Amino acid sequence: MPDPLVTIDRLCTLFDTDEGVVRAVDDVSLVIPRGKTLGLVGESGCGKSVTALSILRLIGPPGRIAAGRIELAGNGRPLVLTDLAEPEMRKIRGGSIAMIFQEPMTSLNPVFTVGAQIAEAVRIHQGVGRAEARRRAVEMLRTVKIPDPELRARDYPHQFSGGMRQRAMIAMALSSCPKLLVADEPTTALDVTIQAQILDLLRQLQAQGGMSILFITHDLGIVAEMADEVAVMYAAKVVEQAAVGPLLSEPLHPYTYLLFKSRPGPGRAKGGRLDTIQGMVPSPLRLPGGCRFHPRCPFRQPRCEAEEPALRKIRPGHWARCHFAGELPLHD
Amino acid sequence: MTQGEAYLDIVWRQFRKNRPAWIALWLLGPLFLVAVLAPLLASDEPLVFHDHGATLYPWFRGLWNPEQPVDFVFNMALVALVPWAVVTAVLSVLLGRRGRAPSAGWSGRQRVLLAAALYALAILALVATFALFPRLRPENVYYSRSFAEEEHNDPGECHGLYAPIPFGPAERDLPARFRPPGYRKADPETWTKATDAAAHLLGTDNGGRDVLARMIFGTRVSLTVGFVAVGIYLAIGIVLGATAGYFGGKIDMAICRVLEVVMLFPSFFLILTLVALLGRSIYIIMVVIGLTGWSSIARLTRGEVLKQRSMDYVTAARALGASHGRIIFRHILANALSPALVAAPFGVADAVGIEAGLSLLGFGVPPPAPSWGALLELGKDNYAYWWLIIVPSLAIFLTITLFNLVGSGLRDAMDPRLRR
Repeated sequence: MPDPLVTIDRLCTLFDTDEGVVRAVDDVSLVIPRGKTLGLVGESGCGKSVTALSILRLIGPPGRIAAGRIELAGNGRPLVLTDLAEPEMRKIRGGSIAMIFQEPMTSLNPVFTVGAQIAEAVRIHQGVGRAEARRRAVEMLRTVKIPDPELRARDYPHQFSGGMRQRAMIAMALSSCPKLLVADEPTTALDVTIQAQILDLLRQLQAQGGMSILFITHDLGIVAEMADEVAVMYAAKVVEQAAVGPLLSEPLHPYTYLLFKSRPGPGRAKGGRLDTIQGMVPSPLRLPGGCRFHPRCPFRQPRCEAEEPALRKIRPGHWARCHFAGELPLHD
Repeated sequence: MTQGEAYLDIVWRQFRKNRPAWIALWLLGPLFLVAVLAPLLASDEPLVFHDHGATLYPWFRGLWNPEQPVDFVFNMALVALVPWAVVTAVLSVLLGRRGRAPSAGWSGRQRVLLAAALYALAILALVATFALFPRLRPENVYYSRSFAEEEHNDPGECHGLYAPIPFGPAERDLPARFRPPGYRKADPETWTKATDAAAHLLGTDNGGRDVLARMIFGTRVSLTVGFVAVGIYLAIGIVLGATAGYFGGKIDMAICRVLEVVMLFPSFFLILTLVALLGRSIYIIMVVIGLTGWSSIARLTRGEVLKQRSMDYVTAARALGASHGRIIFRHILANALSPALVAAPFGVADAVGIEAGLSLLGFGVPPPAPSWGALLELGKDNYAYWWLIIVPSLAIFLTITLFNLVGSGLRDAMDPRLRR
């Protein structure tokens, strides 16, 4: 993959709980290309969000980044985020790397006006005066297409709708022109029309600013629309990774294939039931031996229970973590 | 478009709907005014004194050189009161009152500059007054004369204008000890000074001092003890509570153990012991109440911060690169301060009660200083001096009740479930 912006190398993020150590992110390696969008897909609890928070080093106790290396490419030598001291890391957060969250309803501080919160983000990173920060906040609100930005900047978050709040969050995140925007399910809490608007906005801003996006979602439709590259996670590991086209048309891992099969869409018999993946997501404290997906896999073989597969390159630019990748009948 | 309504505006509107609390807040206003205006209400020095054609301002002597350091702070507030009132009146006319539509043409920065300029002008005016009228200057107003006696001895050449209560809080008159309310020296033969004709409206104490004057100046002591003590423990409690709640883990553990120890101390007896050991002083009382009272504030703040810490906006602020300090003291405290603020008026009421209790037991403010509790102590052994019991008790009772009413009004106003 040419020109990586962020390189995640064998990241392990653990949580120490009373019942034992939870490996929330286990040996994950990802590359976020410059100016492109990497989609990170998976069920709830598979480690998508923890991966994102690990990039920003926002994992607090009882969690910790136990191993791995995260690099941010710069003009000269890459910055090793995992080795940075906290004050340095603070300059990265909201500076080179910004993040937006799933819940726009609660991600804004209820007691400050929207304008004041965006202005604060500007002041933290750009060291400008109060009035100038205020002006840029209004400008950012205009950029994310809030009508009457001068007036709405004086509103409190509760006076904004969900979609507007997410726009305000995006305005805040983009106020310092980050190189990478981490979007953690930014449209999950919004209804579908607003979702489309927000996605359009993100794409537009990406085209203007040339930033990379790490787009976390469990909605495969959004992935198809937004992502250039896709990584699929299951039980704390990446199970498949490829460019969006090949991944959607010819999935190599049974999990990816079953995820596609279980979504509603055209060409599906009316009145029929949606396909589901049998079984449950395994508890992170009692992960199955061998391939982590084997208890739920319709194609499982004895080898799957005994031996954990490695993430292998099956075709150029297409990796999968399955013993039988490329050999299974994964199409309808 | 809806106009944004700040949280404090909502609280204020709710508070005003609470009749008793609203009235209590209005009644606290005069209490503060009495404290600030005390020397204007009761003073043994004439405000203006004409002496053989010359005009003197002896009253200023008391303002610049008070016996109690507490009085100095209040006297400065009194001196600043006039320019402050003028400037505020001018500002409210120029900029429109709060709540009404602000007049057009003034931006936020211009308003601030205008206000600053006017206050600076007021200070300049004050300085200019002292420059133009040298007799008003502090260094020119030290007199070691009793003007009332001079006037009595030489009524033809001397004439003074006195405060409504022409007695100082520490002015002794030993022949007139323990006189009941309304007492005046009926026989002009015994008069030694011009103000002897005035009545002691609330009687005199064991030194023949005017009880009303002492009550008025006692307001300053009570309010100071209340506010400074609560100020100290609010500061300690909020900082420690927020730190414990935000960081959790070992820091939380350590702060909570200290908090429990402090909470388990019976604080009144601790104060009693410390005052007995360290001596009687208003400062020791304030500091000791402050150092023992913070535990409940810390506990409330800790709980609230713990609740706020896991909110998404905290993670969002972290992701924007905000430091821990900024997150705790700006983002979280703005959401977590209300329980501590609700506790403040109750704390003031408590501190006023503790000060009165200590004085009643003879461990309070040392004797020449006026204190409600100290007056009560004089009356407690002899019911014949009933005015020394009733007057200070009523004042203590009313003050504590008013602060408690305001506190409960504030608590209700900040509770969303009780919104009407």
